[in-house]
Amino acid sequence: MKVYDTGRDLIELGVIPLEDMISEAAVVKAMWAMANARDNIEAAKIMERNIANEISLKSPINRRLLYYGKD
Amino acid sequence: MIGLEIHQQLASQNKLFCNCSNKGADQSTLIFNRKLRPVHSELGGYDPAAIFEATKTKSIRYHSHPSTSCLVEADEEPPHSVDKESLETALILALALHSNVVDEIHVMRKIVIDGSNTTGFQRTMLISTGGYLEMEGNQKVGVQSICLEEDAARLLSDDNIARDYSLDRLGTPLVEVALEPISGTPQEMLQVAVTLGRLLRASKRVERGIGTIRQDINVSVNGGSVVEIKGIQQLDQLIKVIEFETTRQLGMIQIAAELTKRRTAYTSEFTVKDATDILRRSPSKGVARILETENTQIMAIRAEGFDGILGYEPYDGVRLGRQLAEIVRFYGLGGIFHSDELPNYGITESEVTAVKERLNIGSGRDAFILIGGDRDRVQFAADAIIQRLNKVTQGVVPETRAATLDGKTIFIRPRPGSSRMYPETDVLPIKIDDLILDSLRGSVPKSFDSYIKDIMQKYHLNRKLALEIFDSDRLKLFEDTVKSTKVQPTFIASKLTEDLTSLRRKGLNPDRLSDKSIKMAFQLLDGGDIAKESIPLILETMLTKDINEVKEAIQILGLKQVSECELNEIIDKVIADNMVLIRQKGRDSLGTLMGRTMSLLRGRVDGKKVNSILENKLKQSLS
Repeated sequence: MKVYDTGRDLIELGVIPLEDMISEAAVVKAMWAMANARDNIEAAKIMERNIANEISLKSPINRRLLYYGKD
Repeated sequence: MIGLEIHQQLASQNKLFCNCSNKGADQSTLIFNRKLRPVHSELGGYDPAAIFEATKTKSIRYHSHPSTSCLVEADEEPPHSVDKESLETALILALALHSNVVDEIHVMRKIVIDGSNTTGFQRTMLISTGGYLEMEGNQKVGVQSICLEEDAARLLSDDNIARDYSLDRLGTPLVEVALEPISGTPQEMLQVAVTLGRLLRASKRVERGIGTIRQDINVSVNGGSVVEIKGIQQLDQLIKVIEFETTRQLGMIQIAAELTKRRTAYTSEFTVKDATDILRRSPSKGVARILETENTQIMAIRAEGFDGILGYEPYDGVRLGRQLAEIVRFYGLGGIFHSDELPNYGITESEVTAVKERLNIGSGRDAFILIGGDRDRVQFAADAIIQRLNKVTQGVVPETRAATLDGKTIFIRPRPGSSRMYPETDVLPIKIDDLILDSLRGSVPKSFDSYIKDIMQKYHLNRKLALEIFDSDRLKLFEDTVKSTKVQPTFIASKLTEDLTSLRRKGLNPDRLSDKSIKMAFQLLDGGDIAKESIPLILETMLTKDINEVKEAIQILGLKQVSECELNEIIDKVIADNMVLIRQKGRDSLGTLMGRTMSLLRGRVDGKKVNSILENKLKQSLS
């Protein structure tokens, strides 16, 4: 979300960018983060950090090749 | 004056703007095509070199592998934020060089038109300015600037139809340290380069090995402009390159003086005429080769007042004709012919006369140049030659040259214009405050000297060995091996330095031995499975027989430990075979007998053990 102005404005408002995490995972993770963090600030940091592949660290150029091993 | 600029690859987990690694992929799994077109930069204006590159309209093929590239390398996804680890390394190096870090780091785009960046630009950011490098004897060399930038894609091949790049290297973080120009001997410059390299390596945050550090130098002589020389990969090239380039520049100044001497009136009239018909049936093989391809022509350029100047050689190998030939290669032509060297190369006297007539060259002091090739390129090349000839009286022309492996320099492109850099708008600026810098001060490397003293103390090495192991690419392996085995550090260090060097002298390439396999050899030694003497043999066999497993080499050499019984048998035989020598020399024959025994055992036993048994048996047989 940091690439364009609109995204940066959202971040300034306090929106936490979760990249490609799906909403189901986000809900559960938020519950866990808030229960285990000292405060909301730390909880926000936990949300943004990839723990169990809920956030993709990179986008492969050819997903089909990656998943099925061939085109 | 020489300004040294080094580009050092950083040892980070990720690339600078994405989470790919730059290691581990051999074969690409995907190839995609692109074409590059130049556009006005966001600040307006074209880059002249870009215009020519665009007319080549080559297709560019990028080779990618999922572990080393993602959509960011393919320019299909915006860059991620600057890699934290790389940024910290750059800041640590800036602090180590006493440089002033900027308050806010802005990432910029530097236009690149040869396809080595899929985006058409290289992302770079200024980290700090000023500072100094401490040399031995309290001397200081000033630092101009330190930048953090991404490396370009790796060129795989280039023919006239397409250019192939591999994306594995694209995006790898590099730190560029530019030093202030200083005047010094080539040897002094080498010392500066060595000292800087050592400081970087002392940080333990940079990559080591061939190709991870690249030197560029900016060379100027008194009365000349600055020429940029790129791509000095190995430090032993540095001295040769400096000497060659300094001589070349002095030669250009001499040529300029010679030309000025003879031309009282200076006109920039250079006539260009087509000469294809004159040379169509020339016996010259070079000309025939050009003309047998379709759509080619030969152009003749009249260079007023240049008779004798094109071939004038003030120093060995330094000629204007040669400089012009290098320039036309940029435009894809093979070279030039010029009147100072003709008739020759198959071009006849009558052809020379015909060209002179065509160009209206009388008995004056005019020369001519012949160039040939593809019709579209020849015009560009002719313009470039005329431009260059107009600058001869300047002496040294600012340009970018490349260093060759044998220590010479060749022209690669004219010095680019300044409209090449503009802000990278996809990455936010990074504020740097004292809090951040203070947290990194603990990681700033101490001086190289105290680092060496630490190594000497910790591992009980003498200074020479400590320096050698530090400078080698195997320092990490050395420390690992000391930690995980009980083998003496001095022994390990000497195997990793002296022995590997002697393998190189034998014409083998010890870089092909992986850290893992060398460590395995030491572990086997530690466990008593092999003897000390066998280590160099094992390493050599792995290289000559091209195998990767230490155990395989041991099998091939038959290097099992010798049993006590077999050892005694062998020694008895040696003594029996050499009775004549023993009767002659008595105790003094021990040395020769040791040599013969060891060569039979070929590294399967510890020398000390053999020596004591042999000495005893020798004593027995003499008594």
